[in-house]
Amino acid sequence: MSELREKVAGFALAFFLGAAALPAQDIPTPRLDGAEPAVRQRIASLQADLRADPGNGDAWGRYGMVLEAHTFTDEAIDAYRRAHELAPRTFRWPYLLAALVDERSVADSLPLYRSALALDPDYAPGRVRLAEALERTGQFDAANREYAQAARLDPANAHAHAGLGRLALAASDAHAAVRHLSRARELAPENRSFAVTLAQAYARAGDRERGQQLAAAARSLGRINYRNDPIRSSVQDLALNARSHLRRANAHRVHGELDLAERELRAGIELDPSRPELHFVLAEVLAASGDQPGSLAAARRAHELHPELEGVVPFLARALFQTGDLNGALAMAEEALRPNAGDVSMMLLIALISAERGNVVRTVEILDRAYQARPQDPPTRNGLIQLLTNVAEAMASSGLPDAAARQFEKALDLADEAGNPVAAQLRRRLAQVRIEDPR
Amino acid sequence: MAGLVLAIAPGCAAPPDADVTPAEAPLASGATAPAVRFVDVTAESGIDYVLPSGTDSTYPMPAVMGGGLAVFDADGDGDLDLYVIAPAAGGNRFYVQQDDGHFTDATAAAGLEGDGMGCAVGDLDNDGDLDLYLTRVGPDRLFLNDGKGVFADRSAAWNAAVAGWSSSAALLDVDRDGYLDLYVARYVAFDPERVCSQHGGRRDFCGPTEFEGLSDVLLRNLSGRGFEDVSAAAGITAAEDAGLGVVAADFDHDGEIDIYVANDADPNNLWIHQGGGRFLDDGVLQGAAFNRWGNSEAGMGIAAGDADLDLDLDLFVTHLITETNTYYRNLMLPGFEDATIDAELGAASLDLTGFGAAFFDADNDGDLDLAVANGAVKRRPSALAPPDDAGAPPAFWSEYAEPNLLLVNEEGRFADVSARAPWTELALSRALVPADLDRDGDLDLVIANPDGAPRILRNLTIDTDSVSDGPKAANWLQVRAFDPRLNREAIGARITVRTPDGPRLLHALPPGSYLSAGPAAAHLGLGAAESVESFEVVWPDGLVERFDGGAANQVVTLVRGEGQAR
Repeated sequence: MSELREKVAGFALAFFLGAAALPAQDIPTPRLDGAEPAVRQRIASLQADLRADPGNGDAWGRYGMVLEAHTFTDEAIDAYRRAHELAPRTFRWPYLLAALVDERSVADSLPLYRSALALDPDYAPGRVRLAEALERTGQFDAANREYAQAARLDPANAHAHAGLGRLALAASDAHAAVRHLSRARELAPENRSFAVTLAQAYARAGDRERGQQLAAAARSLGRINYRNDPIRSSVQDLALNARSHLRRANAHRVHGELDLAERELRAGIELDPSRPELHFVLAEVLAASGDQPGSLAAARRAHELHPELEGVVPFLARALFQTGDLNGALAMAEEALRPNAGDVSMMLLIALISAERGNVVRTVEILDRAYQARPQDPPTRNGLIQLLTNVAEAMASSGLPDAAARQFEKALDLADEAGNPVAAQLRRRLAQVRIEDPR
Repeated sequence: MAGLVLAIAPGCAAPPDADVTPAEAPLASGATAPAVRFVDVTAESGIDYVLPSGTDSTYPMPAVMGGGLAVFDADGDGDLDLYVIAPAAGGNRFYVQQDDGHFTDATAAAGLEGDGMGCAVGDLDNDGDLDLYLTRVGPDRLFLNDGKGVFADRSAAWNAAVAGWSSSAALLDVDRDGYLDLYVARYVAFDPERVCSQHGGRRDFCGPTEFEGLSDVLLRNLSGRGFEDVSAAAGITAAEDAGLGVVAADFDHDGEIDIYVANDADPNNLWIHQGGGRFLDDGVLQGAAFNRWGNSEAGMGIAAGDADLDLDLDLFVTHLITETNTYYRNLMLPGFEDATIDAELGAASLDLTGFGAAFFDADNDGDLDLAVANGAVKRRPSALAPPDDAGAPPAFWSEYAEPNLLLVNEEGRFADVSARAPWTELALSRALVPADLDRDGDLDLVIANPDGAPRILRNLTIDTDSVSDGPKAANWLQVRAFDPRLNREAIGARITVRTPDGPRLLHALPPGSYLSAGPAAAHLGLGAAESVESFEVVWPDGLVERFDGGAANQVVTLVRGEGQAR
């Protein structure tokens, strides 16, 4: 069966590469009615390049990439095919062609992947894609060999290990599946697909409890699983749409390139001003750049567009606090606590504002609520310890040693639990205030 | 065929169309299995109604998701009637089947005007007729039947007006009190103001990830007098996913009814009944939440059936273009495995967006085949229909129209036999229900198409078999499980039929893949077998009874209490 498939696919390869080659002047042009002006302009510009130099394979390839980035798939396939004809030694054109054909007909993609990998046998992400295509066409032994080869070429390629794990699971070798998938998960802990497949492998291997834990943990992982394939990623980098701008902005943020991130976000907002996430990320970028008013304005816009957008209300609360708008900050912090009653950072903000206004009862009340929530992340816990200590000191200096002791006890309890070195100092202060309170 | 569309007398098959020359395939028994053929008889059926989608330049998402369908005997006269459901206001139509097989519009007389998304059909008050629950983008509606096909809206009195965008619904008796409860899958918190576009900026319908998913709703039937919302107590509000398809059945044979929900872009839910009306989603560990690759897919419709003949219920879920449809084989570990590749079910669906789907024995050869209704939800990378082409769908849908699929089971592998009409015709298809409309012993198909007429595809298997010179190779049974204490079909009953070719598993389950409902009677293809040895029924309350077998080619009603208890 697999031999037949290969022959059919070989025919398809010949078809894709030769039978319907376009004359240079016949540039594949997608329907652009309703398309963004920037997209139309970019496509027109690349078409002008092609008309000027129709024999330039790389120009055809670049045109294909822009078409693909904007989901003009048919025209992109034509352009890649032409690029491969004109630049037959360039790996990326048959590779990108294979990946697109793969979305329509997996069997037809196989010879294209092979053709590409003949030009660059060591490109591990390509080996993985070939392996996946083999797996999808039921050629499990061949897929296994390709995954293993990819793992040898790049031991850090999580998808190669995941493929080995998946094949083991399908072959009812749950223990081997756990081994391979555990490695994949180590390499890409943010990948939900690996997590849920590993959870299933644990269950099939008899460790249902561990599987349940992992399945529960996987719920917090995003549904989009990114893979390290620089050549394929370079296509999406060309997209002129709001989401792509956001993705590129986030990449710039990771590398500390805040000015480039801001530029991408503003371009995205110009294209689609209705996307709250663009405004929110812009708020974060501007805050990091020190532009507090700009940040606040962007965050307010995000909140207007989507009041439940994750993180926007706490962000606004903090931003308003920093600009001195305590009423606004308090309102936002209270709003943040309504859907997320355990948000200790917002409790601390309310405590700070209450303390600033001299409302001791409210301050103590909200700090006690924060203490009961027992925050586990170090910055929040340390912030709570610090605030409890400050309140305790204020009470002690106001001649309220009993009340101060209660606050020191809470701070000490948290510090002890965390192994925080401040515990020794708190213990001394607690002893001192107890001496001041002879009861 | 001219004039009379559908033959109605059992055993009196109409001759095949003159232009039908089906190929034949040899069987091991020496009989010749007729190749499966369908013919579109919509034009002659009396139904010329174009189901309004309500689409316009704002690309409202319900328009591309809608197109529901119920096939049921509404007036109790023994034949099947049709209710087609449109997302556009006032778009629903109810058609009564006449003695001559034609359908006539009886919407107003039946009191079934309105709009909606999907439905469930069953006897909710145990008075011996079929009631109708209508899901909508907005409050749902409940129509109770007076037994003659006239319905009264009892939504308020029954506390049935579930809010939000509901999609598919399933009937099940969770608490085994004899009254059918209702599971309502809900989709997303749709915001009509949201504007969506393709990567190049062209306007298009929004997808589910643009909105928050909604938790589903479980309504407990209060002894036929109303519903109580028990969703929270049941534990199902733990998930807020974009639900589209739902099937209720005892997947692990532990005696408790479970629920499987196909979610659009979210992991599917496999709600395993823990007893006492509490459910736990075990889809991840049981291998039915994600596909082989660990990806959640755009789950739309569900087909359920014993596709591999190992006496448990397998699942098939339809998905988006560039995803394959996924076949989850029940391993009874308990759990499932994605066996799409083994069953060769991937390639045919990769370039299509599937919605309604059904496992059904299209050629009466004893195993389950598949039909899938397709139609894109985003402008396709390549439009299959040239705009304004004669016979093509309306120009607005020309970039969304796709062909449907017929996949024939060949010893556990499915062959795509959709290369000929009516499977090559392009449309935006949604709900799909198999049912023996003409009562000739093979299963016809009804498909709902937004901005198109509902299509009736007549199955020619019996016609072909009848004109064959050799031994009959397309024998059949229709099996009803009836509980006289409840005055209705025993929804959820599991029936094992001993046939000369081995045991076969049937369920008394109304097919309800996507926005649809069909008759609860189970159909069994018998190939060349002319009789069956016995039936064993596991009734929903756990009682097991054995019944003697009988001759093929008839409707068998298994009455609770009349078999031999085991």
